[in-house]
Amino acid sequence: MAIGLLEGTYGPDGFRTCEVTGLKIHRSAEVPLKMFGLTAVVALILGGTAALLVALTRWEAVGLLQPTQFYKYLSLHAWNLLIFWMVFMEVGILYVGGPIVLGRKLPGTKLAKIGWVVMVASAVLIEYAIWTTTYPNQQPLLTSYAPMKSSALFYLGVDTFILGTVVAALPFFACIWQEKSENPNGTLPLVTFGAFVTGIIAVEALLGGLITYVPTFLWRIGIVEHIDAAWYRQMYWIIGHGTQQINLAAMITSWYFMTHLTAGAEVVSEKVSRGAFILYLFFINMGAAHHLMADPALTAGWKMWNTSYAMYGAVLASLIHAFAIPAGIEAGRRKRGLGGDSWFGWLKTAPWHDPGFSATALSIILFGYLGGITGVLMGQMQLNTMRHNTLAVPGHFHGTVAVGTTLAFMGLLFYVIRLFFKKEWILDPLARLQPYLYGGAMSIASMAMMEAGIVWGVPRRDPVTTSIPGTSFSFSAASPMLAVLGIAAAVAVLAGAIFVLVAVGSLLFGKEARMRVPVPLSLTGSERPVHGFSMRGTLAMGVFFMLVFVLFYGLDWMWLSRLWTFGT
Amino acid sequence: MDEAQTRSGRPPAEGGGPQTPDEEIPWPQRVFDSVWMLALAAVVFFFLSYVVWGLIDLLSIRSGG
Amino acid sequence: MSSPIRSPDGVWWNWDVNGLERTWLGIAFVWCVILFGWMVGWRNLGAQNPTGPTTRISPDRYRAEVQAYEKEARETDQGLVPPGDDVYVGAQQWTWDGLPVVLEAGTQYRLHLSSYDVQHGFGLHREARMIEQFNLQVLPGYEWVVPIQFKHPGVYDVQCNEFCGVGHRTMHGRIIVE
Repeated sequence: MAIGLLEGTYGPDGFRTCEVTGLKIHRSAEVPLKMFGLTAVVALILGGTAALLVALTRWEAVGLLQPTQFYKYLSLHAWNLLIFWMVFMEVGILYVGGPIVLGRKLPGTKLAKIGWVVMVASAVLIEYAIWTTTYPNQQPLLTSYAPMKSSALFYLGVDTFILGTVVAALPFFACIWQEKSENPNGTLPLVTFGAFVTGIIAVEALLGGLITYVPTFLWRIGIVEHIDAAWYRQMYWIIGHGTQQINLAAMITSWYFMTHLTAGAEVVSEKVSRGAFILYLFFINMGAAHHLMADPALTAGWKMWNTSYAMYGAVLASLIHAFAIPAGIEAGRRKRGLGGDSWFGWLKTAPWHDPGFSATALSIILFGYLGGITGVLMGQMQLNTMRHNTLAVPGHFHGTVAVGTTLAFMGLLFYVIRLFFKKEWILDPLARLQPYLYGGAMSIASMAMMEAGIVWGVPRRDPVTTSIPGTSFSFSAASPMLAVLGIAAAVAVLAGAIFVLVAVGSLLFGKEARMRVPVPLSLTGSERPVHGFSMRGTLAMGVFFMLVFVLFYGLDWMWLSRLWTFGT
Repeated sequence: MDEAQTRSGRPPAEGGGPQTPDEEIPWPQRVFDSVWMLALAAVVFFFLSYVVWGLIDLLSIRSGG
Repeated sequence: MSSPIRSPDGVWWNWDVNGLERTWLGIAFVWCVILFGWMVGWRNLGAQNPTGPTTRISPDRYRAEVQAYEKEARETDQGLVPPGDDVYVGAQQWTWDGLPVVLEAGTQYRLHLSSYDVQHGFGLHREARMIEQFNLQVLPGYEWVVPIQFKHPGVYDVQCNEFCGVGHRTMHGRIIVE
């Protein structure tokens, strides 16, 4: 059955032409893309199940898991979603952004398959290591901070997973190399450029992972004597946060792709959008420093230079994309005569019933407000001390990787199912509802965690709130908000299950796809270039966003100023 | 094969502005297109800003007593 | 059409940038300058910064320092009263050595933080108050001295917030400020 899903109909040269996009798609790219996409969904199922158990523990009225179990499922939740779901999707995205958009073969498809095998075997090894962890080993959670020891198999699995990913990414880079060699004066399509930037960010992150985890594995098996805690943290976060920056770059690349595919968007300025990707390329991984603000040892200068992505260079990039992508929809739709001439008609008439579009659009909005703002605030060196290691941190990153990247990837997968697997979606009303249900519930869960962390200082990575052994102290004031978290998370997991149901159901039982998108790509509209059309709706939304940003910025600094004084 | 297609089989490139294929490509566009050079420069920059500077900080810490 | 899945043709560098997009670029740039400037400014002029001298010290040596300090300190039923301006805290699985401690509001102290074993998180918040907390990382092998001065008397809870093993959730301590 699985092998059947990987098959398609190709010409004698191995290519087929997509009726919707006109892209020439080669078998050597499409088969690995499908393999990685399917594997990503398996990881989503595992991680989502673990999420439910974790959330129902933090909601103390349910208090599902005992502490040792809690740390096990928290580790499984983290590795399956933050790493396996994301990385398998992103290798697939490289294959789309590279050979498929360029209309080329994927060179070295064998490497893609070898990489996949190594990655899957490593993931299984990591799951096994976590599942069987017993004393003297402790659960790794995501970060496996030395000198606390985790299972040797865990560190080994991480090392081989990283190597497998590098191998799987090589065909993408080879494809870009071939393209640039054949067309030295040409310009890569924006989506390909975004995928390339994603790939280089990934290479940095993965190399950081090897620098961290190879010595740590050797230390665990007794070959290396000592692992310095500060060095470990600094190196670890290259892969720890770097993997999240891969998510960011891949998500934004997918936003450009999906808004074009589903809503008639165009690129309003090639140089501005490319400039933003280049800012990411240079600066985004410096954000690993966000995790080290409240650390000893590192100087304030290092902290501020790195946490700010070089004077906020990468934040400027995010703000650029935050305008360019909605503006692309607005000007693109005005150009095509969609939605009339009003300030927001283009947005109101957008295909909100289409789960590919709605997931993408919601992801853009929610990522910006929930993930983006909190990320910049927590990244400021001094503000970070009020949030570090509290539940506000998972609150922030569920605002980025859950309602941002995961929601965007779900939208992307809806169209992978239609355009690559060529299956029509089953249970249409559920498919249409799903992005709203997931986006809404997960937003509430994220905000609940932020409140508990910001207001009450509830720690992250902790199974209890009120019954803390050995003390009368408790975080009981936060209990109502943790109940909100539990309920919202359960609904979000349900929405994830609906996604899996529709996705897998469509693959197994869906009819042959009607190859269409809400706004046909052949509809190009006016002859005038897209940048000549009004973007006033987007600017208005942008200004509103900035006002919210400034408000929370001011509030945060006000709260900091009222704290006891500390520092030199 | 459609003569407008490149050898790689990609559909013809399109633009949204003045079509001047014989115009000289300005150097900023060339820089933006030099993906391997950009990648190398970016990795070097990151290595210096984050890894090397951070290591210097850690190695500069004196032993206490 | 300017498609994200097609190569732009010609000299795209010279294509116009929409006036409103330019406006946005200006707003974004100014905001980035403010973000950086404010943070750097606060480091130099503000009263809350996660900064302080760090020295390398082995866990055993730090434990000896803390024990020497505890010998000098005065024991009361509320907690230790430090002999001078130095307050020593040693984090270990799963307790805070040196806590509870009794301090005076308005007095400048030097808070010494290190760990005897694994990484811990010094999560300090003022009891029953909203949004009054800070969190510092405590590492074995490094002694961090952070100057600190409390403004208000009261009870301040310390809860470890870096996962440090099965007993992590029990790791609670207190600072009493009079």
